[in-house]
Amino acid sequence: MKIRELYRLPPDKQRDLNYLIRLEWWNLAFRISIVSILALVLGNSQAMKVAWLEDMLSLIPPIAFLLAVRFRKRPPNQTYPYGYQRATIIAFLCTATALSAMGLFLLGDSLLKLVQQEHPSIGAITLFGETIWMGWLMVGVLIYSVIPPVIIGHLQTKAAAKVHEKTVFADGKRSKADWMTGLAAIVGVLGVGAGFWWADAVAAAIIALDVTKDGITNLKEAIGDLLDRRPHFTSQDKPEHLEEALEAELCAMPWVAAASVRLREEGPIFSGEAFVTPHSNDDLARHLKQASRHLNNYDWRIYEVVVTAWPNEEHSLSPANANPT
Amino acid sequence: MQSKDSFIQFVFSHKRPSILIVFAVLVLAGCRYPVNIERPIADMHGGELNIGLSENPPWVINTDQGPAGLEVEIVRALAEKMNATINWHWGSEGNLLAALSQYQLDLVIGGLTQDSNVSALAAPTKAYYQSHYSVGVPEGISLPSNLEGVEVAVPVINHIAHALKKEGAIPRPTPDLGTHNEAVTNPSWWLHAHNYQIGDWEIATDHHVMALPKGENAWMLAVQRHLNSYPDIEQRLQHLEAGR
Repeated sequence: MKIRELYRLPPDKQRDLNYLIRLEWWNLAFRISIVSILALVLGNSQAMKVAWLEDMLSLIPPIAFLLAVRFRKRPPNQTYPYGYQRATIIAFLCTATALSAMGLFLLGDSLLKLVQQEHPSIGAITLFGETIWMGWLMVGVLIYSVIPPVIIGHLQTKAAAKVHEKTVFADGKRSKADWMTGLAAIVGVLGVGAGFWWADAVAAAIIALDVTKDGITNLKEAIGDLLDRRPHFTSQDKPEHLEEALEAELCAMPWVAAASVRLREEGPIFSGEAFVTPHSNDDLARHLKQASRHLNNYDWRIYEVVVTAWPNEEHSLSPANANPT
Repeated sequence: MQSKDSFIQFVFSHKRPSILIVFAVLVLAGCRYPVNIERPIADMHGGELNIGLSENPPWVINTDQGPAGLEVEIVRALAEKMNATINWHWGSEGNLLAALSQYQLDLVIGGLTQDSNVSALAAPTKAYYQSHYSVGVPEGISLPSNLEGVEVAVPVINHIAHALKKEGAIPRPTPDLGTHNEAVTNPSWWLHAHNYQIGDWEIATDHHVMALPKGENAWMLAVQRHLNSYPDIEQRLQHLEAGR
């Protein structure tokens, strides 16, 4: 059996990844602190409940990423000859499913509260001998809950784009936008204090809608990866035209008459096949191996491109790829 | 992302004046924050308070001279502070809570404790007092070293028999508690009132609350502040129990 070699990041990218891992540990620590503090002041507010559950869900992406990174280090073996790179996609799919399901549930729950015209009670709390309205405390905690995610979110998206870590990039994008859900919850709590019973449930529904939207966007992305969609770079919606670049590389080799390439994503990295029509069969095996090595070193994101030779008549190449002799 | 961008635009550029007005209203309202959703708190000050009460000594006692008991005293003091008159409405706990949920009452009392029945229909206050159940013996008898196999008298109707069995004791439902020379499980204020020596077992704890209509957040703040500053609840309970 031919088992793949272990994928190794170039040293500078490995440094970037190590930084990202450290960042995710910080992210996790802040998220846990937010969830614990919010839990203390939940009260009866639906908006607070939804904001809290959203923050609970936001624990999953860093945990999933940190687990996946650990898992990915294992070398490919007899049982898993293709290696463990796709562990990240599994983590991504889990996160997206949890987000979508929870978002829909919370949306239904909030709309039900709206239909039932439930009047939220936000009680009082005694702090240092003074009894104050709990709403003030909730607002304070909500303000705390949005500041670290916004800062970490900015760092995350930058660092994740460098090493093409989609899960973290998506999480960072969510964190950057997190202040809006925090603001919605604050408006909801203050609205209840001002005597508008619906403010709380409406704010909760808006947050739930946002969670659902994020979930579905990520779900699409994860399914795309699992269906071997052509690679998209982290920060872009359009496909990366890496295939064309590789075809040009192959066509530039003197022994190649025509070439075509297809790629797929395996977590943060790309693999695929190249089909080459040679001018002659001289030294073909060696040429193929060299071509494969060349392509694998062309870009750090490329894990393994297998190069195979195809006879001319069977090669349905576009004219652009033809290399006339 | 587009919807979020348009939201930001909405907040920061398009509707700036209206957002400022909203904040101004909130700041002005801040002086009287929070407000009630159904009945304005200004209505209650100097007005009438509709209080539902169900008998449950020593918290609420029905006497010939009208309602008495710890919670009745607490509510009377609150009404006095607010310059309000009280309309008392006797009823069963279930009926009173249902009426409360329809905003026919302002408050329900009757020795209510934190449980899901109350919070389903009403907004309970935070616990203003905790009754700690322990085992005590009359003076002259020594406390058992442990409860394993010890017979302990409990009220005929009680909710602590299970907890007592877990400690290994044998609960014996007894009418006329406190008239025999035997170990008794009851709240510490009861044991103190009957001059019992109290062991350091914690059999159970009741968290005492009052029930308010949901969403009446200004009223809740007023009641909670009053409860938190109400003095000497334990002594008052002992006094009420001893006087029975």
